[in-house]
Amino acid sequence: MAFTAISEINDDIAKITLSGELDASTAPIFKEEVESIAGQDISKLVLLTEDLEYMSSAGLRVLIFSKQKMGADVQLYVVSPQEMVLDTLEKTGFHHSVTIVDEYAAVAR
Amino acid sequence: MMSDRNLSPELLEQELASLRQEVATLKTEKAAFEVQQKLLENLVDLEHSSAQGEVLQASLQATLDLVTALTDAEKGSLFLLEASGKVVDAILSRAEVTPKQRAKLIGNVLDRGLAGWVCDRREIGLISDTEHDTRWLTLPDQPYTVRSALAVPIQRGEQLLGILTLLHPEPDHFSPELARQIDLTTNRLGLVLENARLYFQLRQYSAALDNELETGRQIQIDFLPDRVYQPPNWELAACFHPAKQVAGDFYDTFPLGNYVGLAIADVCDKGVGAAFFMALMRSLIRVFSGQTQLDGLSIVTGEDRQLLPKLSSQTQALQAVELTNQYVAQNHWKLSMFATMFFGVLDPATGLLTYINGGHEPLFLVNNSGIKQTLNPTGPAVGMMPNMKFGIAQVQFESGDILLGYTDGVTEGKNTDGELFTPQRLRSLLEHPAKSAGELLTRIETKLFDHIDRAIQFDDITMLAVQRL
Repeated sequence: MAFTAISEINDDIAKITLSGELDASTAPIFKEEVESIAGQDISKLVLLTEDLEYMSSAGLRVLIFSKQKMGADVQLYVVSPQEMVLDTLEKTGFHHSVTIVDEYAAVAR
Repeated sequence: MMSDRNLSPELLEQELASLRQEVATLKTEKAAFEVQQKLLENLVDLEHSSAQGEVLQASLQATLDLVTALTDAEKGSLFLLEASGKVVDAILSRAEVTPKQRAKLIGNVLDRGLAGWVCDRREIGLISDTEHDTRWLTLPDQPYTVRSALAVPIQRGEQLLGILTLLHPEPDHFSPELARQIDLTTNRLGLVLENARLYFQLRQYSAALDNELETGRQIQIDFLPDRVYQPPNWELAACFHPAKQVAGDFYDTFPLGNYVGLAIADVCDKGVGAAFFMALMRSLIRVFSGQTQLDGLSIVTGEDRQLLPKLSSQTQALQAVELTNQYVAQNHWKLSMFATMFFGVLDPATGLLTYINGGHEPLFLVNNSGIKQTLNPTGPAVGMMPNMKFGIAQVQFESGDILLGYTDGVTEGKNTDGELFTPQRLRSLLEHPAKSAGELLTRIETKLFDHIDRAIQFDDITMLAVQRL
């Protein structure tokens, strides 16, 4: 499945919906979306990953980039990651740097 | 309205002349169409030519020979020009010119004679008799007679890419119609030349790039141990298969006083960027672990000492992971680079391995009955964020035990259907006893490359195996 990253901003929440396979060849698409919302006045960056089937280390690199780019005041959420993506987050210890939730409603609260 | 009967002889003659003109135009167009058709067939043939390196020369030579034959010219030449007007290549029909003569033509600017005239005007130059045309320049050493000459500029857009010249020893050989036909085909020729030029540029560029990458590859291989360190009563084996010429994976084995440093790591991403970080991280681990060891730096606090009474030297060396993390996260945070890394300090005398697994794939300690212990991450990947804490763990080797470390290029090795090799397949290969560390690696390599088969290897593949004999 082709990779897509679609962003939208509502009030102070930026959402990026990721789907397909996030690897070295598709990571630049994701990075571009992150850059497009950097500098906006947001407090939360939410990654909707329900349809994200795979994330390589190159993809994780963009997640770290997001965290750094947004600064300490912006909270990073990963919503309903699939098992393989969650496994990558946990194995590399990045799950400590993001908030992983099952559904988007948990973020909006 | 005028009826046919009323046509005056003058008008009839006019009518006839216009019809003749139309027929001549149609003939020219038909002839031009046929020439184009043949050229096109020629191009299609060339596309199927297998010897890629020869395509440029072959394409031009075939095109020139074809035009020379179609126009019944005696000689033909095709000069390729660069933007400054300098001749970069000269193709001559029927290979009558020696390489020496050809070399002499290259580098000249066509500013004189018929070619100079065509370059200047960007239009067809037709000479029906060289003896009565000032544009013709007879060279003192010209070995053949030329009476008719036709020179056509080959252009793509504004750019003059080349000049096609056709010669004949008799005057009035090339008619204005023929000149028109050739002119109509030069669009096609322009395309051939442009493609040839782009192909040539690409080839040059890619050869230069390949060369640089090859240099990088050689240097990177030099960063890996040129021979795997073998402490007495232990067998260490490793393998390294980069997906591209340079890689982000590395392994390391080196003596640390009475201990042995063991590392396997995977820098995120692939290619040149990953290779730079591989070199950096590998060096930092070596330097920091050696330094803390040699200087006897006491990083372990008194409290920790009580918790881990026997670990001091080994844990000191392991501080290298935290120091490397700090260095990369603080100095290179803009690049968001990181590595998953296992670093262990082995006491070969006792078989005790003290380690940090920084977000790396779990390692397996196996014996004759399969996996006896899994060495899961004890901390995050190295370089992601500053001030990270890395837990230290220990594992005891018994005689015959083999520790297997690998990078995700193994478990995520894809076959042509996109199916991964998977951790399950890897684990199943560890169920049967292995004679040696080397044999275990060969077993996994064989199965893995059988699985990948003809698919493109998309990630670096690295393994390290350590056996207590």
